Amino acid sequence: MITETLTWLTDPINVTGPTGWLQLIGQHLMYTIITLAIAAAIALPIGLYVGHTGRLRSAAVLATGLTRALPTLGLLTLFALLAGIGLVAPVIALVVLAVPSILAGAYSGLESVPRSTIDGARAQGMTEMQILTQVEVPLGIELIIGGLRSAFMQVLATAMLAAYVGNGGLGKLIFLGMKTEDYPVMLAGSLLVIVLAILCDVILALVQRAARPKGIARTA
Amino acid sequence: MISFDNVTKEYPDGTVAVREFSHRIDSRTACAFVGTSGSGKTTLLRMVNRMVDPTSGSVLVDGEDVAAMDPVKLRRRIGYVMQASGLLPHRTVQHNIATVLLLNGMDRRQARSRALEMMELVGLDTSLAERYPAQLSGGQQQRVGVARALAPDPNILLMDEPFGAVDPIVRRELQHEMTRIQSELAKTIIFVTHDIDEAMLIGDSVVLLRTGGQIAQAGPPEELLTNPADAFTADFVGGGSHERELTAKTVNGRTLLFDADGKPAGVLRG
Repeated sequence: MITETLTWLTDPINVTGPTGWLQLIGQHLMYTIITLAIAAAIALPIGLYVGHTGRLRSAAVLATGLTRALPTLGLLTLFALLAGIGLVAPVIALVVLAVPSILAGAYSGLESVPRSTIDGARAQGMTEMQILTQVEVPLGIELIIGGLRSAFMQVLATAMLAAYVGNGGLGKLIFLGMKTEDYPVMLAGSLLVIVLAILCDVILALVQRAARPKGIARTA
Repeated sequence: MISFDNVTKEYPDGTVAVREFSHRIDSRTACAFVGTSGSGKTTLLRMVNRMVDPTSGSVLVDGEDVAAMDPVKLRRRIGYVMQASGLLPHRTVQHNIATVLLLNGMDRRQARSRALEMMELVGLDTSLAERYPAQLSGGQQQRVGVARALAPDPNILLMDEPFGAVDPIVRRELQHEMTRIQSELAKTIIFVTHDIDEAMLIGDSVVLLRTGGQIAQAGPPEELLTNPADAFTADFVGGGSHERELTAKTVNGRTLLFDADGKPAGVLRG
């Protein structure tokens, strides 16, 4: 089966064709990035607000825990029933999946900044916005990006389900292979998403490391 | 001039940090607030730059009520040095010192050269300018803290146990450096400490506080030593327990002074 899979993967038609796997990877990444952009637009401001002010913290923790407990497949089916076939349902379901990690990363990033550093910055006459942008975000950036990174990985893995409601992405190979009992194609789909995930994670880890401010003791 | 006018700080849980405290600190003098923890000395200090707002009463700087001022602007014109230095760990020494200058809109080049001047003033080698705080010793970090506070040339300097976390030898060095800087710059200083020796060294006047910001005694250091108001003061300054009493004895034709334990403390100059 491995050889069949490799043959399938290397057949030019399956690589660059209109439904070739390069195309599917492109779609897959696009879904992931759209989802992440929407989730970040929602979760980052809230997370930064909670982390900076300390207000609504228990509400944020509770909301994070609750949304984490929601099964994405269930949500997807529900939204697909409401919104119909298309991109809307999977994107909403994936946003729900991504928000908790980003939110938790943002507020715990800010909480990791020593209180005395913030107190000193405030006593020097920084405005609250300056404290946020010049002190808290730069010092908490590793955890903030860490939240985005784990959200990215979760969405990338779960975006396979987009194909379940008639969209593309690498999940298409799995569902196609399942329907036609074509296991080499299924295997090709899983291999591709695994390689893609590892590559993305490595890249994001490098981004995270590069963002670490100078002068901070290396922790990892 | 800084005046505390009947200030009280009560927290929502009912704890009273300071009750009806009044005191005046003349311009260009250093006043040391000394007391044990819970005496409200840091709370009082932080009322001056509105890091704490009093529940009642008012704090006046040169006759103006700070409550009517914008806290951010107020803080930018008052130097603040804290115990843990409070430096920004992701910024170089030079950048840290220039913080307030840059906040006030000074251009980068000017702020940088001012920062280097400040390093010299506080006795820091300018070769350390590009280091990060974590690469400095505790004493050096405190010097950076002092340089940062002095950079915008504020009239008022608030110092919250600035030398509390460094070892005794470095602390003495910093204390003497501080008296030298003060004799050059003559700022209005409030210096908070729990160390009576430090208070008497730095302060032109000393305010000795009991729990809740109650003044046990206030006055020049020599007055606290020679004329303690009560047993609390006497005990705190050490006069009552004979700790500060020296005995003179002539040895080899010179007058030596011995402390309470009989150890030689110094030579008397005639």
